[in-house]
Amino acid sequence: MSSAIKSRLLDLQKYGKFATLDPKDLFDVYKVTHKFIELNPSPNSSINEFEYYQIIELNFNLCIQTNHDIEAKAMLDILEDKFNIEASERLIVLKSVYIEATFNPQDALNFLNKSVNFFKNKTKDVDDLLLIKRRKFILESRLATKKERAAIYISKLLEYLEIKPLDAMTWSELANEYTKLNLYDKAVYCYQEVLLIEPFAYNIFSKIGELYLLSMLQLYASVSHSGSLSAHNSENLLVLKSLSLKHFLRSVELCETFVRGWAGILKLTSKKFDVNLKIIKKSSSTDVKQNDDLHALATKRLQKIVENDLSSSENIKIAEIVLKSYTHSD
Amino acid sequence: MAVPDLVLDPSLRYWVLLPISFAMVLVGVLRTYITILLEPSPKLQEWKAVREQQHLQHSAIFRKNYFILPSKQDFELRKKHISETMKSMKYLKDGIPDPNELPPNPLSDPNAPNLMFSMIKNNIANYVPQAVIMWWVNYFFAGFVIMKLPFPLTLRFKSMLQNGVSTPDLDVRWVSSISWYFVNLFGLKAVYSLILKSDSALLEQQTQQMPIQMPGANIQVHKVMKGESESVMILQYTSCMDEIEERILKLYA
Repeated sequence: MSSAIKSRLLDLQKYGKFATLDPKDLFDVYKVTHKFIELNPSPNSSINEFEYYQIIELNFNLCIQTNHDIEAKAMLDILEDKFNIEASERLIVLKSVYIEATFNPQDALNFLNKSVNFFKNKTKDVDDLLLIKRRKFILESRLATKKERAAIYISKLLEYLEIKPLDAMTWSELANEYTKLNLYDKAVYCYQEVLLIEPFAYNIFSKIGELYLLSMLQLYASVSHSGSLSAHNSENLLVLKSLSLKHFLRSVELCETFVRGWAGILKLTSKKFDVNLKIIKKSSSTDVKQNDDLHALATKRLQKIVENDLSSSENIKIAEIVLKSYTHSD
Repeated sequence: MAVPDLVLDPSLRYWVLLPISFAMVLVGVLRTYITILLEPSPKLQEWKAVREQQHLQHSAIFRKNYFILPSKQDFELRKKHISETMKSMKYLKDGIPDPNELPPNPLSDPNAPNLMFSMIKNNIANYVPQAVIMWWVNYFFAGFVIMKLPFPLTLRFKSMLQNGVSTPDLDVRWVSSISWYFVNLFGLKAVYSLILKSDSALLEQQTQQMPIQMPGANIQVHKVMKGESESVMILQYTSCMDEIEERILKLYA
């Protein structure tokens, strides 16, 4: 039992999943790691040194996110006692996280600038310290004024990605920034980079689907004032719709109980979805039939997920709402 | 012909057998720590080298996973971009090498001596203590018979257990000092792992993280990049999203 918990925690740490948990899950996981470290105060026969310090790092991250500052400091101290902070970029980054959480970003940035000196003998070029570099521009963008923030952050992210184009986390961060600015095609490009690295990430497929859906709505909002759509615009809307649908379909192909994917399909194929009303006339009869088939399938699948409780309670709630608003009454 | 049983002085046990075993264990433990100390601290990679490797891998994963792109347009855009960056060599670590220049001699590579030196250091840490103990055993206890095994053995073991004592008729169960040294040398692994269980795990990790880079492996990166550029160019577009509607309808029918 304990080894199952251990490997679950190690996975959370390895894939950085702790960063995207819901607050409730986050707190639950924190309780588990807290207990785990209480039961294993030092490396022993069931947990070797390497795994032990990974769990300590995980607990540090969880403590920071759940506001347990004192425990976070204790975890940091354990790591600092074991590893030489003057030789470990990773530890320096962790410490800067702690400083940011308990003091402010400026102090954290000062600490990073100071800590670069530790490496003076080891490297000629401070740009070799890629982890510190990444951490620094996150802090810098946080310190910038609201107006400049996005521009600075995006240019720094791009600079970093030119050196490390295989950093999926940074690509998705960049996509996030572009989405905030409503630059959907750029965001899609970034998510496609993530997919090239992780080609079976179903959640990313549905994210791209959502972005196409958003850009379809954007286009629709900008052209719908004029009453009837021009042929060119409705053509564009159809293309976006099909791209969005394809991505949602791919996501449910990879994960059959993925609520977001099915919900997207349901919405896109629904007659209640107002964009559909205008463009549906232009599509051929086979397309209409396929559309209806997919709608029926998505309805069936979502109902099954709700009935058999196949997803988290939050997702089921979403599924119920989507089902209510987009299923056909007939 | 029966040889009358030998009588061993009990002092032999306290002053020869135990000291040899003890010294062996101690040296073994010391050696482990010395190897850890001699382990070179992991070097930072130059960012230009990281960039070069990452872009090469990026091109490779594009060739492998391009099927996730939904439209030919996206595919062509990326194909062109990657192939051009590869061709332009702008991410080469040291710039484009002069074609007339001979490939660098692997032996004069400034990084090679470091690597070789660390290998030599490790080997020295392994062999010197062994040689010293062997000399010690041979110098002080040459020709000693120091113990009797509690179980009988066949004649074949004679050369293994009675090294250094030339007595053809002595029972195989008697063990000579230098043989005891060899038995310890090869048989103490279990004892070390008992004493140093956590450290051995650490050592394993360290060897895993250190990339093994042989001196003399002299890959010409600009040629690899050119190859990448060409192999990206000849890719044919397919997508996992072609006819996905029919596929899904069939899959979940």
